[in-house]
Amino acid sequence: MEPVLSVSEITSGYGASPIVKGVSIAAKAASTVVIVGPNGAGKSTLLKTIFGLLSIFSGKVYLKGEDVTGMPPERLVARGMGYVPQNRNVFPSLSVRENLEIGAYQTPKHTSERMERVYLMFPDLKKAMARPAGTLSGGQRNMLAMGRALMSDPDVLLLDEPTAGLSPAYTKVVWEHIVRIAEIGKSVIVVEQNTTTALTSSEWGYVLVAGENRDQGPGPELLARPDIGKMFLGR
Amino acid sequence: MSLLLMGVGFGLITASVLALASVGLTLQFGVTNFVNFAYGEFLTIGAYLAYFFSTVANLNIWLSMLLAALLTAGFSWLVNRVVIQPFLKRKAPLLILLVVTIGLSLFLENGVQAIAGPSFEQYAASSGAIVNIGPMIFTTQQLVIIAIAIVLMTGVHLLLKYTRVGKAMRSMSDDPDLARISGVPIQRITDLAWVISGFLAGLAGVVLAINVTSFTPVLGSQFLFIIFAAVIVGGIGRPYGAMLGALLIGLVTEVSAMYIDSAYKTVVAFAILVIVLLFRPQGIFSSKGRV
Repeated sequence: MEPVLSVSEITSGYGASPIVKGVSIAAKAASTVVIVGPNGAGKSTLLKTIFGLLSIFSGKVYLKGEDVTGMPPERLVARGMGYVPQNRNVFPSLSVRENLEIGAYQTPKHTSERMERVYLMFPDLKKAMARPAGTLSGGQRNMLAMGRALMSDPDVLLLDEPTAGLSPAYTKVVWEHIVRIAEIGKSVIVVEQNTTTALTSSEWGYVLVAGENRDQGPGPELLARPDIGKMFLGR
Repeated sequence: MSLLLMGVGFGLITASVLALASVGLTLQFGVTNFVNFAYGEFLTIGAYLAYFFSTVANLNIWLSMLLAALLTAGFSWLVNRVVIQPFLKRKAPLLILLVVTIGLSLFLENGVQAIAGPSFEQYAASSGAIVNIGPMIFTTQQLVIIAIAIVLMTGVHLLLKYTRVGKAMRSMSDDPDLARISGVPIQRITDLAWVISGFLAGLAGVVLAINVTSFTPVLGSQFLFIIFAAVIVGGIGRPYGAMLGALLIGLVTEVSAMYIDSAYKTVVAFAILVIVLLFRPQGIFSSKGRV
């Protein structure tokens, strides 16, 4: 099957110094891909680069076979890519419902149906639909951020550390949702610090070290490998 | 008591003028996150354009006001595109943008003076019949000004609360980076904020000129600090706050003028500002999001 998203030998960074160096990744439809690595490996920088938030020094990004390298975020959203940042991922003064509506700005058709689908997936959001997003808990905010990204009906969803700062119980809930999003046909690419949960739940994993591809393979297989276990889990 | 109510009547007129101007300023600030110090000159340009249409082209004052507001809206869009955007694209710091708008303010004020001259001007339109509502005295022209403000403020409320672009403006005001990530076309929404801001400034300039009866090229710059007071009292970047701030400052300054020398009106406005800043530095409407 052709990958929905394909990143070929991307080099990028802040200013003139590269942080991501020649990284390639690919993601198929209805799959969960996780990118793990130590702090400073360039995982979040890679996601920002794919989503057009950082300029690319070299390399290409293909979405559904189309070259979208360097395209600005609003055009990528219209073409089927969604991104959820790690921090500041909701509009605090807007209600939950308004946050979701903003997610559908580029694709306003069928907003009500999509909103119902999001509410079905995240029932907590329906209960809080009139509340300002700033009053939600950390976990609820992450749900809302994912829901907002789903409102544009993306083919590819990029999630930057969606479980950062959450309790183990909530981390499990978030990952259950990520798996369900993949099950409805989306390609989900997740940058994650919580290596065990991430690799257990994902179909494919990439290991980034010092801005370069170090390894890749099926998530559970990577987790079982002694060298990966030693690198991340101190085994 | 009747003196107080008479002051309330005058206060409603001042509040109407102030509400139009302060909502325009705060709307632009909310979306772009910097203060336009040339905003007072947008009012002056509106006032002089309406003077041209009503006096030179002999059009009705209200039609002249509408045309002037539309042209000021276009001018505001142009200022954003030609003057502001080049600095934003170079990621100029906030201080530079403030200096740019101060420079623009001086340029525009002197430009208007060079074209129109420094002398006092006055619209030829009649202020209409006197209408008594209890102890409050209005002219029909003043009642129209109040009605315009109510209609426009309702319009701004409906825009922000119920339309796609209004919600996009509010999202940009909360977090412009997240708005962009969510697919909001920030350039288009910024343009729209400048257009609406310019339109309201144009209208405010005309109704201000009607209210003060005669005006010069410093009309807007003299009024700008009162506008700032209303905007800051309400909470900068918050249109509902600006409406409330305008009402508060309009009413208190005019009621105070019933009891003390009216020359102290500006002092009273700044006294309100200082008191609010002492007890609520974030403004009255701090709990709500900007725009």
